[in-house]
Amino acid sequence: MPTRRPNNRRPRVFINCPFDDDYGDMLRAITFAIASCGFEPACALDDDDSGKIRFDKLKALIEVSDLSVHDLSRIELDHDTQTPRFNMPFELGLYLGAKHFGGRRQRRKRSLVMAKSRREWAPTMSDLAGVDPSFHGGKPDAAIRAVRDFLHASPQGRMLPGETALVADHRRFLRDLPGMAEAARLTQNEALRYRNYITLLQAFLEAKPGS
Amino acid sequence: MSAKKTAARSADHGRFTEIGGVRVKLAPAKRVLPKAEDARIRQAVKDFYADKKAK
Repeated sequence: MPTRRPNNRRPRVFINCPFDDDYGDMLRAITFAIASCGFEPACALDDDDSGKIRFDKLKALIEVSDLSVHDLSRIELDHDTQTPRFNMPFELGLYLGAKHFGGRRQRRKRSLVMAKSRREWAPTMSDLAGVDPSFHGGKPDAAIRAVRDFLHASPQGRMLPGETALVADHRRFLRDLPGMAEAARLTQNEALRYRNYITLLQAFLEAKPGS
Repeated sequence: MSAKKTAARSADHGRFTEIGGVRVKLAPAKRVLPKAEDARIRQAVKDFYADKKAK
């Protein structure tokens, strides 16, 4: 029996950012902006198969994602180990490697690089001199704006909602989230877990009355 | 079915949302939870907005 091939042409946006609780609001805002603009957010948290090697997961995600968002705002020293976080720069390098050394589809990849502020950015990555990152100042609204401007148009080439409308809708989603979680018999913490959050977000975008 | 009808049907096909007066075609549904859990949460959100509308 023929096996079904995975859909390789979804409008996926690979998210490369920290996954700790301190970054939760930012990750959720970035995810909201991507999904609201008609794209599919994709990150390592999509797949909970702990039997898969993380690097293999990343390679597969990067290969099928034509767009990516990299937030390098949190590559500071780890409190316990006193070493920098290398994951985000590593994944950006992997993505850029795919773009520059890959086939025709890979060469069309586009990336948004975000950082917290110009002051923190300048001395960090001299290899990326010339790259003009978006600075979000650690604010979710600014991250939504940066992602929306980067995506520029819907996957069908249509106009995207304006940043003010997106930010307002994000606030509405956060306001309704406790009610949706309660209806789904989830606690607040459970609703904020990435995979529950993605499902609630998709359901919200489909079910909410038009604004 | 005529090509015209097929085109009209495929244009309508899919999931949409409306934000700030702009209609956005959503990406195909992405299931990251087990099927039953995914369906349960989606139904709960639908019910939540149906209740909200009815009030």
